[in-house]
Amino acid sequence: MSTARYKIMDEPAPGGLARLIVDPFWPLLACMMVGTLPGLAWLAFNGFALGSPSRMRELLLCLAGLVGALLIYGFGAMAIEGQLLSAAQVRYLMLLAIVIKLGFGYMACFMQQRAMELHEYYGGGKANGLLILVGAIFLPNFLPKTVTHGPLSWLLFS
Amino acid sequence: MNSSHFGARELDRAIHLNDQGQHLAAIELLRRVLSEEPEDADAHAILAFALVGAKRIHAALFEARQALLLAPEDVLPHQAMAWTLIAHRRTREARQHVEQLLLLDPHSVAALRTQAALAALEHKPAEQRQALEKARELAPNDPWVLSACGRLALSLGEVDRAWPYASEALAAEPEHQEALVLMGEILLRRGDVEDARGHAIWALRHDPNDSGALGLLCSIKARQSWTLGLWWHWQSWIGGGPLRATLLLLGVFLVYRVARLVLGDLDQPQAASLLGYAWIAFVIYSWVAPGQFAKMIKKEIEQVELQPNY
Repeated sequence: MSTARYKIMDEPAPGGLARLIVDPFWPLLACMMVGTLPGLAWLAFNGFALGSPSRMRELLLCLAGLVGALLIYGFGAMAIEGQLLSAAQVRYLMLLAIVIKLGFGYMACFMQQRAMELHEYYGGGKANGLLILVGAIFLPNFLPKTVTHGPLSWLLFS
Repeated sequence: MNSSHFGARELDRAIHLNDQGQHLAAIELLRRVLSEEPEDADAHAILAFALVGAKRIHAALFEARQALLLAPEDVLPHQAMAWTLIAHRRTREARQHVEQLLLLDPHSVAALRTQAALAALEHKPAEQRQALEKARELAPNDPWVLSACGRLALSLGEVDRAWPYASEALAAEPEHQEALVLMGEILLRRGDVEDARGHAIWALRHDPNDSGALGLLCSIKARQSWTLGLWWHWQSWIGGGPLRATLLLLGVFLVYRVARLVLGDLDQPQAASLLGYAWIAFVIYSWVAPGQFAKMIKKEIEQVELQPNY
């Protein structure tokens, strides 16, 4: 006879990183206000801190968003260089990159939200994501120009 | 493996809690049963029902599968799987389990109710009506069946026909959660907002998390303030699952951004600015409105006196 507490498969299992858990809404907002890479990375990390049962799927969604945005940015740059598209036309193409990163971000966020609700229902706490977000928004001001204006700056801060 | 004597008593209680709409209490009780007897097929099946009630449909699917693995020839696991698949809107697979259910026990009211629920999802009112009529012959005073009949009438816009079903269901069981919510919805359709509110509050006394009662209360509150009501309607519109919500939100965002670029290219800076202001207003509204609406609902719920046995 087993006496271990029966675990229902959608319940999160936070580990040692539990004090770093934030509402997934904040990383999603970071995706919009800070940049693709920091926002999606934070969202994926939050899934692992939360012990979300769907953390691997969330990670894959975040990676898909990142790779998708990367491909569009890359294609846009090549299209301008090869004079396939004008700079004005590429602005429309760049919207697709935003839609891809936000689309995958939203899906990962909604998925994580389910585990977050259960985490809170069972009395789990969460950190204030606003402070981290504000810090991340102002972070570029304190970074060297080689980072903020380097070749990957659009991925970090757009 | 089926329940021991200890488990059977606990399972009866869990079914009762589920019927009362107290899904979260049922889940905790079933967790205790399964901690003791992890291979109890009935406990897994009833847990699937409770999880569907608590809108945790992914976990419900896992539990229904467990139940079916342990007792593939029993009625309850098929019923749990059918309800779970209905909640997932996977009608074709649900149909297979409903057919199996009707084969195993053609005179079961529960099986007929499941068939009616599936027919409702598939927009087949004739089949729904037929299944419910059969169920009524077998159990004329069953409040679940009466409520389902009332809901069918309401879905067809027959408010006056829905009324007697809800009344009969409440006469059979005055505190029946589903019947209370149904009666509230009928009253709201008839314009009797205050009585509708009374029924929603009464239903919330049993379970302040009941989604039907909360939905009814939100509809009532949405009528009282059109500015916040707008948000509720928007929320209901996009609330058809995460994928739908994502696509709709992205669609709105994309239309806005494309329109701004087009207006810029057409040299219409004033129109582009106006659109920008409208977007900012929408963002602020969608930021503020949920909080205000939740406050309004919370204030109402705080006044609800929970039943002593909750």
